[in-house]
Amino acid sequence: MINDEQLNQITQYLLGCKIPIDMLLEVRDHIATQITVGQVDENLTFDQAFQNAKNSWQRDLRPYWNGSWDLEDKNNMVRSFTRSLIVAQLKKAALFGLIPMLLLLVLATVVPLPIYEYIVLSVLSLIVVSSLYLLIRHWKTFQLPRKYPNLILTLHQNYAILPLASAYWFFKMLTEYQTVTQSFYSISQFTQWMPSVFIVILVYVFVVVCLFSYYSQKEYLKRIIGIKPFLEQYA
Amino acid sequence: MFNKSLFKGTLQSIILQLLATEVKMYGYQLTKKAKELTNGQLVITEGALYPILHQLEIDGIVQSEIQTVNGRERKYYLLTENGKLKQQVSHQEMLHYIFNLKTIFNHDK
Repeated sequence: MINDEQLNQITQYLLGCKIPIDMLLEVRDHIATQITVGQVDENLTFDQAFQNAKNSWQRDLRPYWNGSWDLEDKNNMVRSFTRSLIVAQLKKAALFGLIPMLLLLVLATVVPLPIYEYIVLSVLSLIVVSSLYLLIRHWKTFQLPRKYPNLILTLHQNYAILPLASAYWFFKMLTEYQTVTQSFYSISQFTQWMPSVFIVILVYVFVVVCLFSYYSQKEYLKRIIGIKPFLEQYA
Repeated sequence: MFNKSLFKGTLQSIILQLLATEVKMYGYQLTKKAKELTNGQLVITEGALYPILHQLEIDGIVQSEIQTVNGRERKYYLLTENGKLKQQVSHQEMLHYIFNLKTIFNHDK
């Protein structure tokens, strides 16, 4: 049985390895179980069993710089998590991003241009506003990483404030909405493919980024519930 | 233990299969069970296990629940309804794959 002091020792080790808190709780339990098994099955002391556990995690938890642009030391596990997180969220965003795009292209074939302009504006605004709304509504929660600069709360925190970065492009689109609308219209009428295709692809990328950020925010808010008790106890 | 890369592409199917054998499982339990079932031949490293579990969770194939065990939080994973269907498909795919491998590698005998 691991006592509180020993559990704290494992926690401090993992914090030193720069593990995000939402992953830390799970990895801590894994290491604690490994230690308990070592103590019971092999009659090891806590320190010996902990050292064995550290050795078995060494390859995954040792932070190092791999030449990436952010100059940050990260461990292999965090890199692997980040990769799978981005791929999974992007896949989801790319898939659901097709829905408004197809909707707009289909509507362009049946709705007159003056009304269609309003529809394009409404759909794009809805996508942007929904992620901005979450950000503003839970502003304090999204500010938590700033309150604990030495901790990584969750990997999702990096992407949750993307709507602020995309705001410029949204306003750019608002000012150029006639060009955007005309592009959708041209493609659905099979006229003037270039540069319409290029503009529609840009809008699609914008939609995917907004949805990616929206899903990251939702995931961040979900995970932060489990992280808050940890912050009260350890930070 | 043999060439790890042979397992690499099938790790997700292995995890789904293991999860299907119990109501819910936690990370350490999954690695232990894989080791036990293969007499120590298959060692799932933690660095490979957790990213896959989290991706499956994001994809809605597994869901997790936290329980307090021995004074610390433990995260259990279980298949969702969608995950159960996915596991059945994956199970069939693996059986076909194994059958085809056997056919190829036993061809000369």
